[in-house]
Amino acid sequence: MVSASKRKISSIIARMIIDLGLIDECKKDYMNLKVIAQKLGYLIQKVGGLNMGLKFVWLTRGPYSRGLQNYYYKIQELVSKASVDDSFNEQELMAIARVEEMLNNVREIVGGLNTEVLEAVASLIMLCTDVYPPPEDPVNELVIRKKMPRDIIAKILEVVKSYGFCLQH
Amino acid sequence: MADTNVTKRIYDEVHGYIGLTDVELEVINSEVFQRLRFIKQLAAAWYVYPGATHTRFNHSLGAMYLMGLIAQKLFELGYVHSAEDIQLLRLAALLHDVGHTPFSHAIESYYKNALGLDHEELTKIVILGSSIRDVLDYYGYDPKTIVAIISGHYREPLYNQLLSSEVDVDRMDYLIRDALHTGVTYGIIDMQRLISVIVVDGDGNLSVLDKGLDALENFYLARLHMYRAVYYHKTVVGYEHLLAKIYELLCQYFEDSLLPKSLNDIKRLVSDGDIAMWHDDWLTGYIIQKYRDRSTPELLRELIRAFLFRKGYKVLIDLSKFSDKPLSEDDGDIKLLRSVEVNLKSLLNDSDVSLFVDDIKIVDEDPHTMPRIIVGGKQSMPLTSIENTIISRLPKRYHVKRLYVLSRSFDKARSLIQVS
Repeated sequence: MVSASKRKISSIIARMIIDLGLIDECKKDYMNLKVIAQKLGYLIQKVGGLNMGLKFVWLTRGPYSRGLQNYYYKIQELVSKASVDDSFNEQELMAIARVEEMLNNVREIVGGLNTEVLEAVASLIMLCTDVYPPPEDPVNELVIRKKMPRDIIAKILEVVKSYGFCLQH
Repeated sequence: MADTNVTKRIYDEVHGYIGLTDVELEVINSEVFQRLRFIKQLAAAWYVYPGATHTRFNHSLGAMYLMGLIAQKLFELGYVHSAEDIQLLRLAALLHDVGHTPFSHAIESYYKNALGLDHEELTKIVILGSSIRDVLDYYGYDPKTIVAIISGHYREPLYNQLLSSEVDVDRMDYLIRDALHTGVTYGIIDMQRLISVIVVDGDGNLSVLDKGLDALENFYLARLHMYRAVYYHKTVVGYEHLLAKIYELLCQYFEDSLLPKSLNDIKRLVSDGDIAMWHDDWLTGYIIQKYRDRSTPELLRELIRAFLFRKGYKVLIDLSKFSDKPLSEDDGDIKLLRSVEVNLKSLLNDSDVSLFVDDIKIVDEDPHTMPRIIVGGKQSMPLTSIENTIISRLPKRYHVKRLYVLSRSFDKARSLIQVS
């Protein structure tokens, strides 16, 4: 995993929100922005391989990092301007591209990308990799917890598998 | 914990008699756990509040006791799955602070900055690498499960919340215990009421019944007062800051197995069992020894003298204030303090001047962690969306922004800033 400066956290997450077309979702409700920021923060470390020093715990709404709370305000500022001035290095750009590619694949296969879908993606990966004891059937675990349709979560599972996660399921 | 399982009782100054099971007693009797008797809960707060000499040992027992009360209640309601889980949760609460460094958070910052390790990481290393693991294994409790609950990675999110959330057993115990020992009476919470109104909502979140809002408001207000009056008291912070500097210099100048400088050093300390001596009393003795040794670098001796004889850092400028926003990197107050710091450092000894900045969260408005309120016995709502509560009117954050100067240079520093 490549280390990245904590200073960049807000810019990286805001950039992904803008690129993925999640601005309206964030504007609809400030709570959505917080959930989206948490899930993208988790994915940029886990899928993007960019270590931003964030520690995530497992809660009912999936992965959550207390450290990320301090960046919500800045992320909101950047998202409301719909632009991120920061320049990114090659590793940061590659990490962003990998997460965005995966989420665009999820969007295509489930027919949309919103806060709930993002929550399901991040939660599925966390269930498969960081939660103890790991569930035998992470799809079922999420169906029960998130009350989302099984077929949607099963489709998400296929996408995350193609990125090397949850391969045993 | 059912009375039939209790093999011994221990008297606690907050909760009264606490019953212990076999496994709990054996964990407590281990050398690694006994270490907590020598780590003060509030590091150097006894410099301000002489009664604040209670330890992590008392607090760990208290957290375990509260966990038992709440877990039993949630077991009866069907949210904690088995009696064995109650024991697991009690063990997790008992062990949640077993990785604390000497002088708790004062020294922890060294390991955070140098190695990226906080006390939760250290706790994991201690549980999995010490005799505690053998005790847990012997009684059939999976050490990894306990580590998972403590680190917030357990599969059942409710269990993670019980130990780490806005209203968890850790906070409940330390607030009431610290208030008692410091004498800060406005830090006291209505613990019994709070426990009686804790439930679980339909999504599995730890929640509070609306009839318990008063107790919850009191909890938030107590916490706010304790932050200002104790945890971030100007003098307390000054002495903890001083201890951190002393420890850093000790690590820089000396070699000792009790001054671990790498992850491997820490793992060795744990596996050798020497960690049992890694506590406040050892460190105090060590710095006295170094102070008496004339070959110790003079700067270190001066800082130790300042600590031992209460001539530590004093606040020269305090620009702390409440806010609803996180502390900005471009904060004007901090820029001002930094410029004064640079000026003073050029005129005084570098180590005599120190800036302290922190951004403390008072009300958590995060959908992941915000307490939920069960309204009218049915609907679960985030706390801050309840109109009729003063919590939503509290400031969200407290920005601590202070410039400290060592006592010996304080008058000079004050006259210098008055001139400029």
